[in-house]
Amino acid sequence: MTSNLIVFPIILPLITSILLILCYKRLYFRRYLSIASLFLQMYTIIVLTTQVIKENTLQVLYVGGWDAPYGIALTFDLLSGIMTGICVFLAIITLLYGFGYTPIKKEHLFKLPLFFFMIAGIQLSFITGDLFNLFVAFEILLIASFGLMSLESRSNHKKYTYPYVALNLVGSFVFLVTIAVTYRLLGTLNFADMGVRSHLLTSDPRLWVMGVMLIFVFGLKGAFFPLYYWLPKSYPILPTPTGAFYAAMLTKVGVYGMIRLFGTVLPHSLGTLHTLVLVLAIPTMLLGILSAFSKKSMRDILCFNLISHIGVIMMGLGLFTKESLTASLFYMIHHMLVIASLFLIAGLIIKMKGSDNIENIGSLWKTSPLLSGLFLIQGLSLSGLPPFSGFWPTIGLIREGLSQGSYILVFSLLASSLLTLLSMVHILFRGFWDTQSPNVQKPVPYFKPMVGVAGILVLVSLGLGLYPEPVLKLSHDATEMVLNQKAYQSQVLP
Amino acid sequence: MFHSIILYIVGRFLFVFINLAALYLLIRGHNAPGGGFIAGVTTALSFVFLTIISKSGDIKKLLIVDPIYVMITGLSIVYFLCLYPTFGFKAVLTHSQFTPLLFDVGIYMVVVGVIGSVMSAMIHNTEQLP
Repeated sequence: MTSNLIVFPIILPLITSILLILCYKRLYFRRYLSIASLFLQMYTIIVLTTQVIKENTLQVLYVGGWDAPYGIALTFDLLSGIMTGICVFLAIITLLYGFGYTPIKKEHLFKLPLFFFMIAGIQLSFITGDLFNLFVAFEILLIASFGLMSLESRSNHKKYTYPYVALNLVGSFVFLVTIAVTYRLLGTLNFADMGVRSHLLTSDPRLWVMGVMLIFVFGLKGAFFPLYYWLPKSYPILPTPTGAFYAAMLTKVGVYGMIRLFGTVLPHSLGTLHTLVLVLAIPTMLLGILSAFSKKSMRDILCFNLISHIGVIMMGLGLFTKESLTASLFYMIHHMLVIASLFLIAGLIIKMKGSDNIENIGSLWKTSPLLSGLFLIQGLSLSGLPPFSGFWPTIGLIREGLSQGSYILVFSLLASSLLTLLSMVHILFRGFWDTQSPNVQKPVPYFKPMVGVAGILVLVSLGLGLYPEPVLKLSHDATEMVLNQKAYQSQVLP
Repeated sequence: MFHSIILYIVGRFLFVFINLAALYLLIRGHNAPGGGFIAGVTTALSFVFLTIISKSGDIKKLLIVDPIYVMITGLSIVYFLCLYPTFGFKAVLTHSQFTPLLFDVGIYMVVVGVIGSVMSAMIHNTEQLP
């Protein structure tokens, strides 16, 4: 089944970025163009996803007319649909918010084009069905994000971009080595063909070596336990709208790679590797959140929370049952929406108070009850309290953990959830409730619709918490599609 | 920046031959090692060479257009050739008789543009160093 529509989520941002460079003088037109292009992209993704749901098959495109094991196949299943859709949704939200955040004259000429190149890289990594093409997608998104990060950060913060650049370049190099190992071992890089051939090698220790290398690569992109050093250094230096998009999407690309490789490609009998992921998940959950208590800036605290929640997603991945993966996927959807909205609210506080240091903001309840309410909702949602969206995946993970008898994991999940709640309460008490400290900077007037844009995101995640059935069913179906290796192979290989 | 008249005279001749080699690589790339990327790197390096040996030391003075426009033109060619088969209901990037060469030319322009603009920025910066 050939449908050229699959390529549009990738090619539309690329064309848009070229147009954005060409019409660099028409500042307002650039903004309209970028939003229009994102809506068009959303439309193609919705069309593709409805096709996938209706026919219950993958959408496959053999690029250049070359058949599957030889050429590059682009595959679009329900998981790709969910991830690309959320990526475009968050891009629309953060761009609209960013238009209010940065004055139009001060926006750098290459900010929007680089943002669109980054989106193209992210979408390609969600859609591709080939390991080398996944590497290319990672390179596109990393190079664009390096550029964006060094453009957007202030000059006295530029040094914090180095850990990001250096560690991710190391990751790319190891990824390339991994691809070489894979090609030597399996003789192919197409996901479906890799699946067929790796099933013949299930007891071969070389397959485990390959798996460990893949965990290293995706763990570096996704900020797993020993490799998360770069994340809390580099994300807080970005301006908040861009930072929100980075925090929500870029680490999830690594996690998506793990789900795709271990779910769809490699055989499910590699229990040792799943245990390795579980072992790494515990320190990721606990160490990330413990570091959050030593920080004063809201964005720093959110970044350490982010690491801890990557650990939660890893736990679902490591348990590797259908239910735990469903819970992981739901958690990922919930987390992308919530962490982005928390960043956006932090940005509004920076605009209002001139800083997001919780010692300095003081008594926000009185000056802006709306912002405080939004932050309260999202903070409670992040820690997984009942009426909000974090509750459902957390309870699913706890149930799966208990039924598998891994009590240490359940304990550390509950501990990390409790510590998240404590760190959110810490922000709320110190920053929102306490009386204002004397050394406060003068408030800056901000554009009112920005609150509305952040509010839309909060409403969406609130809706996800109050009525989770459709998304739960969607993530369940997506997990089933990911785990059904036989169907994937028969649909991709002609 | 040092300036040697011998190097300058020889270098101007070399510039022509380096670009002829690049052209050879570009055309040969259809079915043998070579192609748009390698040819683009060769051409871009010839411009960098010429900048270093010439007195002015500014790559933008040697080029008629800003390298960034070369890059954009190349990218536009590549995107057009990528999407062109969809009008005939074929898969994206399906090639016919002459389109691979055109595609290579697009890549060549992208590489020349990117390396040209990066190098002009770098040469410009290092000149101000003591």
